[in-house]
Amino acid sequence: MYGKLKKKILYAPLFTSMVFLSANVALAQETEVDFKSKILELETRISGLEQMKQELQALKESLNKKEKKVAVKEAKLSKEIKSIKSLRKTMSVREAKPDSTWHLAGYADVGFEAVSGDNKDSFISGKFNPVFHYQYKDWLIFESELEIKTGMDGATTIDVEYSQLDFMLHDNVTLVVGKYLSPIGQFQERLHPSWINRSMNAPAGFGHGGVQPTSEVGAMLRGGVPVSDALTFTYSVSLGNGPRFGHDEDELELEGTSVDNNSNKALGGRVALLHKSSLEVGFSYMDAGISSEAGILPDGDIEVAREGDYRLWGADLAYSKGPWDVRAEYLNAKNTPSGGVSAGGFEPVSWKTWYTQVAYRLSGISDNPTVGKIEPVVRYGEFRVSVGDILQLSAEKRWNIGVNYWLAPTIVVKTGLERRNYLIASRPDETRYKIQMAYGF
Amino acid sequence: MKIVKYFMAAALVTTVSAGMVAEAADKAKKDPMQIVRGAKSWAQTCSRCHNMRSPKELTDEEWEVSATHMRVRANIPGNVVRDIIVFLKASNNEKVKK
Ligand code: HEC
Repeated sequence: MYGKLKKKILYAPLFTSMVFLSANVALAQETEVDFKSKILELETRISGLEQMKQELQALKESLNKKEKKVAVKEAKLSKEIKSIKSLRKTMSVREAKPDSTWHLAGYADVGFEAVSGDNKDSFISGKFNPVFHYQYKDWLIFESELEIKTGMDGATTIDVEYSQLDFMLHDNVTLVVGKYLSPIGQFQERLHPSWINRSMNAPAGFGHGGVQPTSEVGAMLRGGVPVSDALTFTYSVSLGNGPRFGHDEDELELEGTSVDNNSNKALGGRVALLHKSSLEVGFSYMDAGISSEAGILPDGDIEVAREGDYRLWGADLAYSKGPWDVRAEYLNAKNTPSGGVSAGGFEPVSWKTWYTQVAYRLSGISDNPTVGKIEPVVRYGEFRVSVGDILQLSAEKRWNIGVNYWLAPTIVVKTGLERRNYLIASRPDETRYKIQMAYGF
Repeated sequence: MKIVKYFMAAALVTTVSAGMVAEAADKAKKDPMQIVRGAKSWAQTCSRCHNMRSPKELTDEEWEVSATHMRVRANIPGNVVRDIIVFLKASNNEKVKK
C-alpha cells in the first residue's frame, strides 16, 4: 500500500507538468495563429496608412498649388482695393461742394431778311451773347452778358448788356448792384433773348429808339413774397443814373451809363401779382430828372442846356400754360421841360407803345411729334412818338405773323412776315420777310 | 438826395436780417417732402417765360448756379428755388451722388 502511494506521489508532479506542457503547447499554437493574424492586420493597416499618406501627399500638393493661386489672386485683389481707394478719394473730391461754382450760358442767332421796296436782301450774321454766372456759396452771384455782333459796315462790336452782382440777402430780398437789364415792363428782362422770344424781333417801341428803358446802372432791391397759396407778389425797385437826352429830340438814351450827368437819380421798377394758374399782371413806373449842358456835339450840332422831368408808367400781362403763350404790354412815357416849355428849352415829348402776342404750340392738338414742334405766332403792336403835338417819323403799326419750329426746347427756327404801316404818310410802308435760327445754351 | 439815403438804409437793414435767416437755414433738417414740393414748383414756375429745360441738361453744380440765377431774374422766393434745385439734382441722372 505504501509502495503504491509512493508511486502515486512520484507520478503526480510528472502528470501535472505534462498537463501543463500540453496546455502550453496548445497555447503556443494558438498565439502563433493570433500573431499571424495580428501581423496581417497590421500589414493591412500599414498599407492603408501608406495609402493615406500618399493621398495626404497629393492633397498637400494640390493645397500648395491652390495656395499659390490664392496668393496670386490676393495680390491682384489688394491692388484693386488700392485703386478703388484712390478712386474713392477722387470721388469724394467731386462730391465735396466747392464754395465757388460757375456756369457759362448764353445764346446765338443767325438769319435772313428781305425788305420790300429795296434790294438789300441780307443774311444776318446775328448775334452771339455769352452769359457768365459765378456763384459764391448761396448768397452771391456775379452775372454778365456780352453782346457780340457784326454790324452793317462789317465791324464787330461788343457791348456789355449787363454786368451785376446779386446779393441774396433773404429768401424774399435780393440786392442787385451794377449794370442790369431794366426791370420796367416784361420784354427786356424776360423775353428779349432770341431763344425765348416767340417773334423774330422786339415789338415796335421796344429796343433802340423806343420807350422801354433797356438797362440801368445803379442798385435794385427785388424779390418775391407769397401772399397766399395761390398768389405771389413780386417787386423790383431800382435806383439808378437814369435816362439822358439823346441825339434826336424824339429819342432818349435809355441804356444805363456809368456817369450820371445830374444828381437826380431815376427811381423806378415793377410790381406784379402772379397767380398759380400762370397768369401774371405787372405794373411799372419810373421817375427821373434829365438834363444836358449846352455844348457842341462831335458832329458839329449845337446843343442847348435842357432840364426835363421824365415819367413813365406801364402795365403788362402774361399767361403761359401748356401750349399757350400770351403776352400783352403797354408803356407810356413823357419828358416835359422842368418849369414850363420856355424854361426847359425843348418841346415836351411823349411816347406810347403797346403790343399783344399769342403763340400756340400744336402739341396741344396733335400727338404727331413733328406737328407738335410747330408753333404759329401772331403779334400786333403800335408805337407813337410826338414832339409837342406832332407825330414823328418812327410812329408805326406793326403786324407779325410767323411759324416757329422747335428742334429742341432752346433751339428754334422762326420764319414769318412783318408788316410796318408808318403813321406819317410820307414814309412808305414796308413788308419784311424774315427767317431766324436761335439757340439758347 | 433823401431817397438815396432811404435806399441805402433799406439795403443795410436787409443785410443784417439776412445773416440771421442764413443761420436759421443752416439748422434746418433734411426734409423728405422737399423733392415733391420741388417737382410741383418746377412744373408751375420754370415754363412761364421759356420752354421747360430738361433736368438732364445740366449738372448738379450748373443747376445750382442757373436756378439761383433764375431766382434773381424771375423774383422767385428763395425757399421755392431751393426745393426746385433739390428736384433738379435728383432728376438729372448724374452718377456721382452722396
Ligand atoms: C420770369 C421769367 C423766367 C422764369 C419764371 C424762369 N426763367 Fe429761366 N430764363 C429766363 C431768361 C430771361 C433767361 C435768359 C437769361 C439771360 O440770357 O440773361 C433764362 C435762362 C435760363 C437758363 C439758361 C442759363 C441761365 O441761367 O441763363 C436756364 C437753364 C433756365 N433759365 C432755367 C430755368 C428754371 C429751372 C426755372 C425755374 C426755376 C426758370 N428758368 C424760370 C427767364 C425765366
